[in-house]
Amino acid sequence: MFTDIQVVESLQARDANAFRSLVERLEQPIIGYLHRLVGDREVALDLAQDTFLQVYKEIGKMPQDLSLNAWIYRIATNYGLRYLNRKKLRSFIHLDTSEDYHPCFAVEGPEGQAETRILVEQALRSLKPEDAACLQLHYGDGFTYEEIGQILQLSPEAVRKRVSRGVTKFRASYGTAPKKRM
Amino acid sequence: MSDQRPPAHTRASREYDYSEGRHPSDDLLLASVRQQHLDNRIQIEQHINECPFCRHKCHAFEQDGRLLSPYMQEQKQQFYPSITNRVMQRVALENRLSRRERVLADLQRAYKYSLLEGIVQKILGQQRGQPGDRTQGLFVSPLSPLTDEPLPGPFAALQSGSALRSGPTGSRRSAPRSFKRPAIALIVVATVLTLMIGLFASPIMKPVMTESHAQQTPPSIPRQHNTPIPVTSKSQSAQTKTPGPTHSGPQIVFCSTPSQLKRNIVQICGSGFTKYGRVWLAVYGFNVVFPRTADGRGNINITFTVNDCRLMPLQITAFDASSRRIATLQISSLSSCSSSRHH
Repeated sequence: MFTDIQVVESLQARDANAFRSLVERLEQPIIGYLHRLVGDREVALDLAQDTFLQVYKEIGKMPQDLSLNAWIYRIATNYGLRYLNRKKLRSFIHLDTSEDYHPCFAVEGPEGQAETRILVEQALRSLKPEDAACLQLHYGDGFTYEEIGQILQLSPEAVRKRVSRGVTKFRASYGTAPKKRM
Repeated sequence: MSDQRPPAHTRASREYDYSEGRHPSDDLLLASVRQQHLDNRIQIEQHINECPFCRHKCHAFEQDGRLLSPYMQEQKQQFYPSITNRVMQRVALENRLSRRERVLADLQRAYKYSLLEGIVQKILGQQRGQPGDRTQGLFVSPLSPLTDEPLPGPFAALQSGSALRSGPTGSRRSAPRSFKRPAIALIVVATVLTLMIGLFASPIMKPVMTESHAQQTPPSIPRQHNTPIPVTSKSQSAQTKTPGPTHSGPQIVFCSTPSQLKRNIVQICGSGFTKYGRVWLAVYGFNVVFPRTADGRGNINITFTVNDCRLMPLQITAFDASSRRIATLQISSLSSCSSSRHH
């Protein structure tokens, strides 16, 4: 198992094997994070590729005080947020990827579970992208406020406010959804 | 409220003082619930123990966490196809690129995430002479492809090289800022935009019409309707004009199930495309281009929700970027739009 420093040194030396193992190690979490953030699987795959390409190109500029993972998440977040900001133009059309309606993706169990999932997803989509990113990183990827602060270049206090704002907005959106809450 | 606080207190000291009816703010309570680092954790927890109001709030935050975490954890279980090989190919390609090609790649990336879209939208909006569209939110971005493959048309011409004489030199930027271009690149982009307007304002795939496509009416962008589109037949949920049975190339058909139609979901199925090839779907009516990748059998599938009958897609054109062939589908009506809908 290599340390971050060793990996970064290998990448700076343009070691293709080191880069390959880095991509293999992080591709699933990064794609998953982008998928949850942008809500489109195919777009997430595209953005993840760009993220890793950017990592390869800019590895020499990685801030010393940042862990490699945090830096990669920062790049991914920036790509995701940029995509989401652009997507606002299409707010009248809700594009679903085909797999959303594929039977194999159907949620097993009571109908209520599927409904809850849809409502949660809708409520998350109603958040500001910056707040949603904080929620995804905290609740989805388990980052602490300090780590999120490193990723998003914010102070832990700012992250704390954003997470709180996101949760409040989420609760408001979820509560107004046409479903009786438990 | 403020006069209750001693004037000598600083903000920091007030944050530690939760007596006399003062409560920690919501973000502090949430951070406490989420076990995050807090300087004044002891005071906050002590306050929560003593204050039913804050305990109630914390309970609500815990409920939110129970709702959010499983949902996100469930999504984390999804498996995605590996992108390692594709990334490595791109890295290898990147290493082989000349400086001019690197500029081109940067330009394409700038286009992907770009800010140019707004400009194009503005110009196209003016050209179409529908100022009301944007105020009603009906005008939707005509440019939304997210891919590294060259776009058909002006970008393909760009790749042949004549348009770009020089780009930014080895100027390097921080990772998230790569779309900021030097002035020379912006000038080039402006030229490209002019070409793109011509491409997107006219039928999008016109230069590469196949024989079957040529027999159909030119794909002009239809006007958006202010009233629900009448249903011409109740027996069919949707009336479509599809390529004839002798069609040997790519084909797209309307394949929404009745239950999907009830939920205003339009599903378009395509077949005969290049396996694993890139397919561009131009949806006329709200002018959006969707990139899709064909599966191993050359099939594609696109599903979207029509929230407003005025935005019902009237014509969909699929362009196979590999074989450069086209399939077109015209939708005459959609039964779900026959009932009264919100406008």
